[in-house]
Amino acid sequence: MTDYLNLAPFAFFSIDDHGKILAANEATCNLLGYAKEELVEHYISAYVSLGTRIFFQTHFFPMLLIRQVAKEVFITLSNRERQQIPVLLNAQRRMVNGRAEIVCGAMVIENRNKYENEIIAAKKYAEQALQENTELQQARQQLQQHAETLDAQILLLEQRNADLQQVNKALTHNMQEPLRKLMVLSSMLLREDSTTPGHLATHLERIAQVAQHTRDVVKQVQRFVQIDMQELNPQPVDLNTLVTAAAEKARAIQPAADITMHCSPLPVIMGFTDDLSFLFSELLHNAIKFRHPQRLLQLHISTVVSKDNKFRMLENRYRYTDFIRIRIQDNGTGIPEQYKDTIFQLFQKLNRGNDGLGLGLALCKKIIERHQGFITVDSQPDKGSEFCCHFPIA
Amino acid sequence: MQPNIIHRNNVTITGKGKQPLIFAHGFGCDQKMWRFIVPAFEDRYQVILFDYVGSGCSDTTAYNAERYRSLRGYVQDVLDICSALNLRDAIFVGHSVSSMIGMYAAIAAPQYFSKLIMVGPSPCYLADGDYNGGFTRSDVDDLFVTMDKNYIGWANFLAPALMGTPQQPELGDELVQSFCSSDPIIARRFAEVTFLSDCRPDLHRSTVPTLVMQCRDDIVAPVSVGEYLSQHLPNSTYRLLNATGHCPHVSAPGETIEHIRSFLHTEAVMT
Repeated sequence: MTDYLNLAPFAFFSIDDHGKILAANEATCNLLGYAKEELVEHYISAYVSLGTRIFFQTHFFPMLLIRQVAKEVFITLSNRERQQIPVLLNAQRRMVNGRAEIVCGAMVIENRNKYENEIIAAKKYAEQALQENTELQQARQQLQQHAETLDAQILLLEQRNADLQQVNKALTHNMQEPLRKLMVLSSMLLREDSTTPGHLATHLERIAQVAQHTRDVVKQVQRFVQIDMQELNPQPVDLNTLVTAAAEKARAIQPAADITMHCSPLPVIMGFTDDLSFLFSELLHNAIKFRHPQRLLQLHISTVVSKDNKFRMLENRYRYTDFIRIRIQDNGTGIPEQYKDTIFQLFQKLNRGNDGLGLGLALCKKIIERHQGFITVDSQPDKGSEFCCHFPIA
Repeated sequence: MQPNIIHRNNVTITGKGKQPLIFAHGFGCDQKMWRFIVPAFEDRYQVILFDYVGSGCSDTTAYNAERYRSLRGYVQDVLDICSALNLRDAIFVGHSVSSMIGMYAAIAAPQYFSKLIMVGPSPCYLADGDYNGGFTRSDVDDLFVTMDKNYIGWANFLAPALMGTPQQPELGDELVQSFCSSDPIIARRFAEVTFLSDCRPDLHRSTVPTLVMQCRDDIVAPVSVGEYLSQHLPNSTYRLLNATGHCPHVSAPGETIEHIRSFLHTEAVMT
């Protein structure tokens, strides 16, 4: 190194691609408080701040590889006393005898740095104010739009609710009642006239059966409609008690079924007891109904807290909050691929042969949505299914 | 398959195997960082590489400040890819901050994942009481300041690279490409999300078998952090590597590959 460079009033040093110091001038030694032998052959990362070390790894070296040159890079050196020294660095990479050498010149900018910090602070403050102002204006605009949309939606919902009440009335009086009469009449005919010929008796029984089935459908549809009409007044619900009861109920329907059930401790959530009770009974009942004929049914209920987006409808809106996920896994027959997207729709039956009405899972979905949650399913044919109920928690 | 996710996250798929093996890059890097590791697994796995939105050659127009203000937004990138590719029982290899992103993804949607492999992970970079995360608040602030002060310079510096730098013979295309669309503003925000996150309260929720690979002399994740993780992360295996630094997959690919292989093999035998 020439005397000029050795005695130059700025730190002048060279490093290789890994940051190993190849040479350093007097100013570098004085600045860092180390003798030349303590610097050369050691890594530059030992003499810079932690932030600068990461910046070197993630930005500085890759960029030098690409561009060969870096100008006006701000870094912080760290001297023997661990004092932080802000410097401005220029670097040039070149090949010397087949080896990469990065020549660096660094100027201490202690005073300029104070000034710059003030400018950056002021800039941030201005940017933040501007950002907040823009956001406020956008928010006000959005609020106005949302208020209008909301108003229109409330009107629509009011109308729908009134319609639903009419539908509900029609279901109760205009349909349930005639069906009940139909059943009573057919059973009276069967009872009163023991001489009814065999084929007529069969027809009468069939009428009674169809009437009964239609009545069940009407009842379920009624339940589906009624859920929307309930007053919103959530209560704390202990899912442990509720799921245990639901499991008992589901087992009682098919007492012969061989089941092992493992349930981890469940939380207390805010919700509607009857609806949640129906939800878990339905899911467990389904697991029993669709158990694999060749193996013992194993049910596994577990729970975990995980963050999910609170916004379910609006695009590009994100607010990740805690949801509790209750996962019900079984080793049953699984859901055939073609039904996966439709199982939560009304009147979708997986199996034409079973006695289900095709309303259960649609109801489950509706119940969870009433709790501001959502339901997902994952299934592998012949291996099993898992239904996950996601409920938001405060 | 949803082409928009594939394009958005610059998803690359190679390999002849069936079981998916996802490699996720860390802060300040992109998928090219795995170039020494990937060939070792292409024979037996379906290898999936990607860039988080705002890194590498992802579609930066898809960046949404609200979404990516916490790690959960980056978790969603992983989940979106799993869903788009209809993955199951995937092995997720995450470097640095991606380790925790992988853990959260597996907690949120366990059906996609069978194993996690963490390279240089840290559940919390800031020191806190008895916990030695390796950084003080002023260290982290120093990094932010360094990025802030260099931002204008680097943005100009990057611009020519974006438009295509004249070829430099000693450089592979890959390195030039890796910085083709790293956005300095997004990188700055990602730094904040990375270095200020505290994942310790959620470690107990992890259930997937996990390999924790800890390097020696790692300034980003010191050995105490790896040890803390191995004690608090359920179902985890801890390995202290001979490799030094924060990027063993670049500096010691051989050893990194060995540890990944041996973990996958042991787990396969056990299950």
